[in-house]
Amino acid sequence: MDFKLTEEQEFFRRSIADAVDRMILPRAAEIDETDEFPWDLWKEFSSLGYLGMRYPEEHGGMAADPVTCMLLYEELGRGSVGFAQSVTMNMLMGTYFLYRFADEAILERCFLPALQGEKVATICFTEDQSGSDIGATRTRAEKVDGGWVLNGTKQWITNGPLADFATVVATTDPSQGVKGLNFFLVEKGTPGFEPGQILEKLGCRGTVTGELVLDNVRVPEENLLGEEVGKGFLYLQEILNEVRCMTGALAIGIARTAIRDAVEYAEKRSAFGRPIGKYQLIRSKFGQMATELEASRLLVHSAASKIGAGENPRMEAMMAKMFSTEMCLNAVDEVTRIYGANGFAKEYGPQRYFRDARFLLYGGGTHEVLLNFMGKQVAGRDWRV
Amino acid sequence: MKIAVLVKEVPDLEVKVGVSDGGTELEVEDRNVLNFFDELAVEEAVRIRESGLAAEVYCVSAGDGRGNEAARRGLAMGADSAFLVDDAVLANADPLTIARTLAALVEREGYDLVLAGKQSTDDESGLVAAMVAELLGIPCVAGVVELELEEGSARVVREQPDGKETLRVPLPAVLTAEKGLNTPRVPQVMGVMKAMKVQVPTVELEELGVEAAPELRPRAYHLPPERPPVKMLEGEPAEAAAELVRRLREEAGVL
Amino acid sequence: MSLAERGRRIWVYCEGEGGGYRSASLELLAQARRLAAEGDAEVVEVVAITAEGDGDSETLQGRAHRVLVLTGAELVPYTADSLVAALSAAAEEDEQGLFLFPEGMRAREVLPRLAVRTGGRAVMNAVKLLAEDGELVVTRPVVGGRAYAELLVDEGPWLVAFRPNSFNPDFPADLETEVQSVETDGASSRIEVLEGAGGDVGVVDLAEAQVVVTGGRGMKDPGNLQLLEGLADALNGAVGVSRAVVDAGWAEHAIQVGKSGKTVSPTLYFAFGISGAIHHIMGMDTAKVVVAVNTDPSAPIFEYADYGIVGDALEVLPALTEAIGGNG
Repeated sequence: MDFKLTEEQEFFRRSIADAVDRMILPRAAEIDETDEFPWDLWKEFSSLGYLGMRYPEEHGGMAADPVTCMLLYEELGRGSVGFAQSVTMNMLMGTYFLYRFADEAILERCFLPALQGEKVATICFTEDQSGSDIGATRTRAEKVDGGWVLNGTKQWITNGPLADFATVVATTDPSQGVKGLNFFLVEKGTPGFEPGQILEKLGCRGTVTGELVLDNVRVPEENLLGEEVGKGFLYLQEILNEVRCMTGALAIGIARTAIRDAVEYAEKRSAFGRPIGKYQLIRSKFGQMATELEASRLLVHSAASKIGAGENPRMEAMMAKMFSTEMCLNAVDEVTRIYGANGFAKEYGPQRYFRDARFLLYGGGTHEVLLNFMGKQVAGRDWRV
Repeated sequence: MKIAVLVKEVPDLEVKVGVSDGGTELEVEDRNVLNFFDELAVEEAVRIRESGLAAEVYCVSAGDGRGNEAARRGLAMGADSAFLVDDAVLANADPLTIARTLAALVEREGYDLVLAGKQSTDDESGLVAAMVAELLGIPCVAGVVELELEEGSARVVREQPDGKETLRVPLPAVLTAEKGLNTPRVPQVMGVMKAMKVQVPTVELEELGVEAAPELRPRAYHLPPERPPVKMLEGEPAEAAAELVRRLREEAGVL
Repeated sequence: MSLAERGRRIWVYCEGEGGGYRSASLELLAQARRLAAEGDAEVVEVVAITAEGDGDSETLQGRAHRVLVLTGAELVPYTADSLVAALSAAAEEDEQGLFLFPEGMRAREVLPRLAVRTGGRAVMNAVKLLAEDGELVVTRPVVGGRAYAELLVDEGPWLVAFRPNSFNPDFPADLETEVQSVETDGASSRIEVLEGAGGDVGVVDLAEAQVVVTGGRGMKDPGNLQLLEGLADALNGAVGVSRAVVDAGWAEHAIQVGKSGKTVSPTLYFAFGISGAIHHIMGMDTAKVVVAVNTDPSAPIFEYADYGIVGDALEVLPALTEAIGGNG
């Protein structure tokens, strides 16, 4: 059991951290302020080639292992979680099901350009009435001659209005619940497929999130991303662990950037004649945050390592996501307290970390749902402590 | 054309520095990076290769337990290969010893042009590159902000206190980079992955037949003197300015 | 005989500038005289060495025991190849000599090569030279100025370049100076000058300036940088800028103060609208008196300043220039 990162992974981490420091970090506040998608940064970052990292080399990727990917996500989170959202969409959720199931033509047209950042990808799960309860999906897919017709409205879609193509979750049989779910590829410009209302969010600004409306959208047969009808939920399990670990890694990134800022602030800011970093209660916060951050990282890396070994660490991934996110929420709260009233001012970073961090509560399942599941496993002796 | 780039691994500028043991030991936090000015040199070399004017770029570094990070960064940025001399003998080496080492290495590998940063951000002496040039018997121009290769020579521009000067240097030569020569690239993931997997070959000092110059060991170190706490001057700009002038004149005695 | 018994000769390279010599060279002569006068380090002779025509060697009268004027073709105008050839001969003559140079382009071109030729010790960027218990000690910054190293001047020729403004230039020029001329074999330069710099001779060199006025992003607009000139002119100082200003394209890199720019060591340093990032601080922290003006009271620059004003640089600068008696 080796808890250390390999020398190569350490070098990788330093390299991506440096890229984040040079390219992303200096733009983070501005992206939040303008709430506009930073196309120039997107192009610059895409050109580095990290978007295809986790895919095999024959697809222009680097076949990077999950732990190495977590290092990337962590640094991205440290730079700008808003920007990270769009990046990870192209890296994982928005492209995975094409990689898995799409034919050559679709790979050429959508998948490969997405890995270069030339096309923006997204995935559509959430609806008005269904989030965690994905079995309640109402977007309908009807079999027709030569393909499918899709109807429904998707909410909370990252990159929604900007996306060149989307992986849409639709049901072929509402009475079957999760067993009726499928993934469909829908490309921009398909008649009936329109972006709807754009959401104004508390945090993760700069990433455009909104509705996607499907009004009698007709797609050809090959756009069903799957081998069989109704297997969508099973396919989703293939990446769900990774998505949860990734969310945990993003949380660690935000926490790190917040804590680093606070360390500097505590050095400079004085109260009653001393830098506040010398007071016990402030020190206690740092000790607590650092401990929880370290624990989060171990959970994320351990779960990611298992994914890399071909296992299915369902519980571990949920734990990693939940623990890291809660750790991050606590950390950003404490950091704003360390800043005193300045933690409330737009001029300083902590208010942005505070707002951005809340987003992590939703991706990969709410904690209430996760805890319910996990608790059931423990009580039912399906997970033995 | 073969380009050799001399690179040094230096402490990150934000490291913690302390002096201990009665002032005889310097304690520097172990966080190292490729020297900023050397990044400019690597970038320039890679650009020259990408433009088709050079066929190969390699990095060389020498030190005691340091150099791997710098070499890897060079590879990630696009250098074709790197060589490292890692020897405890180099721990308190005089720059002359480092120069002899790098000159021997570069002589062995072959070169048409040698690039380096104008100085390191830790030592700031700018000695090694110029010494290497002297040892190789070739000219050296330091602090280049523009570089254009010609047939058998290089046209370079460098800054002087009173303006810019343009020079023609016959090749082979050593040219050192100053800020403004280019903007070093952020390595692409392919470069990073390649650099991650490579084992940078280490060369033994003995192999190169280098005669070490006497060690350069300071008898003591000390930290910079601390300034007394700042005196803040209050009031409207005009008031504060007048008070400042008075203090600079009477208290500090500098006006 | 030990070094102390034999005695040491200090050579000072006098670098010509505008018909005279750089003050940085003259202050080295003064310090060498001081060390010789103290008698603690057995300095037996102070020799000024210079190329004929580089400056006015008459002005060196009284400042050294001996003035060695190098004559020969190709020495003036200066080229590295010719000065290296000329100085090698002198350096080879005195195997235990301590050779002092003012920091700058010439020192950087010549010292490394002299060290290779003579096997001597080259030390750059030095800031102190003292005598202690019969030994000479050179002090220089290390780790970018985060610490200082003290080096004992031991065997062999030592070639040391000092930062300008390191020593008090005043010392009575009361010696009986012997002037010698020595013919050297010039060396033609391998490097061809296509276009000389030869620009502003009146511009005060940042590295040598006694007063430096710098501005950062707090100056808000490139057009405001001229306010810095107003104050600099009133104090006969030089203007500098922070890295942020250069990166924003408001000013040339040549006047950047900081780790990737110039290191300055003035008597008086002003920082207007500069936050005080470590790479900037390390370029100016040896200044004797530092004044900082910034709108942010928690800006790190205030930790490195002697006097501070929380305020808008754009308002304080003209007020200050006026208070000093210049045109704001």
